[in-house]
Amino acid sequence: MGTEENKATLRRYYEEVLSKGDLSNWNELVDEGYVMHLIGAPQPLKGLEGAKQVQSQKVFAPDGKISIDEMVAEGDIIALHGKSTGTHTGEYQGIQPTGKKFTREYAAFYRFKDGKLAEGWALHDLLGFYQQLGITPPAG
Amino acid sequence: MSVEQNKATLRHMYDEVWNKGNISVVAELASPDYHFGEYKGPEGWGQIVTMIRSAFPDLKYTIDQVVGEGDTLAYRISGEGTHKGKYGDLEPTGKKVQWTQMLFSEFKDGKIVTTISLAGGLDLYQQAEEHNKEVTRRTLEDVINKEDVSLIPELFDANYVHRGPGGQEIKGHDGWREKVKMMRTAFPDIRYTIDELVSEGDKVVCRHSSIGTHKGEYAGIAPTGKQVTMSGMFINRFEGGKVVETWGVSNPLLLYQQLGITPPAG
Repeated sequence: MGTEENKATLRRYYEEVLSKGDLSNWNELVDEGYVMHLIGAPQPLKGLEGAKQVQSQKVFAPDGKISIDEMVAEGDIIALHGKSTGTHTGEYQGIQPTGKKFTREYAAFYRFKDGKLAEGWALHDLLGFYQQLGITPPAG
Repeated sequence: MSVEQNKATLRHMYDEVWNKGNISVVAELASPDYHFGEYKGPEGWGQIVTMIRSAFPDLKYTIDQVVGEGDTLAYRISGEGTHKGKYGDLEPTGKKVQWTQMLFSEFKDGKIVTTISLAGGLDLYQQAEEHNKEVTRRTLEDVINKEDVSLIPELFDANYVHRGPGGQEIKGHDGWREKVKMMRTAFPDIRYTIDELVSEGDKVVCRHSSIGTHKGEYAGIAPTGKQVTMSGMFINRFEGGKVVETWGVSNPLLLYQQLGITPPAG
């Protein structure tokens, strides 16, 4: 698989899985040994079960969108960054809805294997996110 | 310039500029058009490096992954350093911290023209707050429970002041040594338990209870041999990773009742 095919797969993953919370094509997009290293999380998230542990944006911001600003691909790696925007109308990590609009920046790296996501590293600008919601970040 | 050449430039930048603080190399690596937020040109970049390195003088970055396409490099780095200077509005904690960044740098004629950087910025605050909690925990569990007064200079600032409800003060390292000696003499088996610790910014709130047997003179009261339990709360304020001020309250009346004596008047 070339980098352009991998980019198309990653776009679908962001559109279907991350933006819409639709897991129906998971096996088509993601390798069964998938591991996501979410920066700040105590442990890597493994496979579909791991993905389900991360609260979908659909829940806390049903109007939310995740945009991709830039992709950089080399070999079997794609790096990307972008923004997720939305209105905080649902509970997030125990925080009651504030009704505030937010823009949260993110960046991530993915390693592909046979055209599917095999490993990922991601971070979000959590501090900026909490500041926009006007709340104190939870202590570690 | 090729992706491989840009990668070599990037590695050189991390080795020389970030990890060694060799600002003079910046001009070779940054485009005259360099911009990052309000920072412009190689000079602006030098300012960023100086700022970060004064917050973390022993800063060390490691490049964990770097990929390139066209004129852009995307890279993941791990940073670590001891937080000895002010970082943003966060006062120095003296704590060794680690963080992760993901960056996208655009190159022009082999030099960096702009960078987008995302960091796990929250980690720094969390790590500082965790550090302050840990120090607070040690002031009770190590200094008092284990009577390890040698830790006092490590945990308390030289200008330390403890403020009690009646205006009484305990000052400096010697004040703490005296306090520990007095408590351990009156209650040789004293044992503090931390019931709750809450950390926010440069303050830690601690709710605690303690138990001990009254075997030595305490505030002019001859030993009664009775076991007493106490509880209290205090707030520690931190500067440079050490406790600099404490506001504490406890209920001495309870102590007197348990010792079976009449509290002193006044």
